[in-house]
Amino acid sequence: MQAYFPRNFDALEDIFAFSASFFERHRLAASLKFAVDVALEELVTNMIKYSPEGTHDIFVDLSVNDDCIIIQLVDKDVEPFDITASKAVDIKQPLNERTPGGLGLHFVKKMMDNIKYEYENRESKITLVKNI
Amino acid sequence: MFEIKVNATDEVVLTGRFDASKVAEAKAVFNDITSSRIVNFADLEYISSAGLSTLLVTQKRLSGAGEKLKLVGMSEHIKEIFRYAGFDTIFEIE
Repeated sequence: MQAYFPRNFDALEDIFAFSASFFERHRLAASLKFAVDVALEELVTNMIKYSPEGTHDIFVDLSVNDDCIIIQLVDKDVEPFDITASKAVDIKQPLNERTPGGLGLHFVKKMMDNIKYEYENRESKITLVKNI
Repeated sequence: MFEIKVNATDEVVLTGRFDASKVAEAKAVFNDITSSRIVNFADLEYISSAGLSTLLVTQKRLSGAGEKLKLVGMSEHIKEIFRYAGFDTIFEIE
């Protein structure tokens, strides 16, 4: 299933409805939906925050085979932002040293089984795999 | 759908899906909290880093005054995301 979504946080509701349709169509275990939704939200909000110059809608493709769910996001005409190279979050820091940033990509790395980032012709492409 | 309200016993009750588009709505309630409170997650289906960050900022502010949030009623998925963040050590989770 493929769709384009506008670059604003209010699009999240439609993105979650899109993933719900995908889960329903393929009769996928509801227990996997939390991780898929977190990954979609964190990456889409990341694209919006870190590529404010972007004017194109964000492309989302969800597919499934026997072993895994594949999530692909494409953001056109943006600077590169390699999510696989993001700084690790120190989750053992005490409360007074914790800062709010960085958790989103940390969650994607914890919840997905494989992450690939590609950048070509000013286009960022992220491919995530979630094993079933 | 997301809803945040303070009930008759001063518990903060979260309902639905707390995503990045709901942060302003949640902050309007959390920013007014000045003493220890229970936050009830029993009817919360979903939370992302945006929601966790809102709770972190509130917990840091309250801790300066010796106060804290206690989080109750979490689903397994939500408990897991708190563990991934290491927030199980900076919040009391019941």
